[in-house]
Amino acid sequence: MRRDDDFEAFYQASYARLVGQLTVMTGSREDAEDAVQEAFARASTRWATVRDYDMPEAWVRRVALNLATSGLRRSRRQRAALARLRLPTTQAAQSTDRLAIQAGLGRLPLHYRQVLVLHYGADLSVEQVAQQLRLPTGTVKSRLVRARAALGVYLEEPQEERGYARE
Amino acid sequence: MHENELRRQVAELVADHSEQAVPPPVAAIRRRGRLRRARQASGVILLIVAVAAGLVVVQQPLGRQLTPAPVVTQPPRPIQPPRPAQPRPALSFADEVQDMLGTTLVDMTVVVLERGKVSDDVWQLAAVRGTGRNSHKPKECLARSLATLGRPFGFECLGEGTNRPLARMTLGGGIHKTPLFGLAPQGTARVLLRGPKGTTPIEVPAKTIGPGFQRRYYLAPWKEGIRTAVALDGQGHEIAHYP
Repeated sequence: MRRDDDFEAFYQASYARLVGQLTVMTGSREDAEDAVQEAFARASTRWATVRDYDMPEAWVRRVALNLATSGLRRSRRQRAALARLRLPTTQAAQSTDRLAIQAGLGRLPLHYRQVLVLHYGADLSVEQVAQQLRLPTGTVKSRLVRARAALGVYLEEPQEERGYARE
Repeated sequence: MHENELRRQVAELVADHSEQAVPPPVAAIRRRGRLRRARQASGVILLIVAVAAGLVVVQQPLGRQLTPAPVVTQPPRPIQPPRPAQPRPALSFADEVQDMLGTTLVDMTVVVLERGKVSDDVWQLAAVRGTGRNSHKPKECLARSLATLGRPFGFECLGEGTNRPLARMTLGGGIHKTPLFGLAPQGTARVLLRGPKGTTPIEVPAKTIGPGFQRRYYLAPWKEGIRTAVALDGQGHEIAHYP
């Protein structure tokens, strides 16, 4: 397979999945798409190297995560992004459980959302999450436990206080 | 919540968002990468030129002092001041838009419409009219840039060759709370932007793009939750809607 075809196939196969993961992490599909597109743009210029990695998708996700995280910090609008996460106005009707999860995730700190999405949403093992985030395995485990506990607290609160729109 | 249930819910949430993501053409991604690399290279070249020019300026007086008096009978030739290398002019926004859409359109006309600043973000908006490279039919697009994110581009086009023939207007923007914008049919007088139930809609006038363009555009301040747009004619009748 030619190198260009190789990249295109990789791009087509991974783009939507990465945007989905980043959207849940950042709370904004626009930001997620921007970060993922920029990460793929960078991958395209060094594809000869990236294609030889064990998991090129992990490299792109790492770059996109860094871009999205620095973008969130720089613009100081994390709260607005979280609020957007709670307003899935363009989505098809979802179950109340899903909305509750979405709203609960939106209230978690970014580093908790990262481990939850990578472990449960991207189906990575704890070791892979640690490798992806460049953290010790123990840190990932403790964050997972704390994130689940915090999410559990939010999910037990009355729904009216969660702040998402119910149509 | 049980761990397996949590895993299922988060995975479904990610899958929901994944299904809504439509990848832009791979050529656009490659072009974005090449532009980024070119910008980096030109930055390095400019730095080298600046350093070299600085060294020349510093060395020049010393060189004059150390030069021995000429013994030849001919008058010394005047010392030519070093000519600094001309830095390559930076691409304008219109050029960058043209470059970005080069894989999609030919015979382009680019009109820079708006420019502004929100917090630390400088945003720009341009309209483009051209002929589809594949469809050979006219298309009109809006393209935006956002300086602080390393000039990423986004563009949305409408035309006879569009794969969404019913979508007669567009709604985009809003990244980093920059304004919302979109294309609307020629007869549009005002555009109504609606958010979730219970929120007040925004109404903004539709503006003319320029000669040759068959559509108008609108620009509205960012407001959270805006997802639908309705184009109204002079009598207040709906003539198009998004989505």
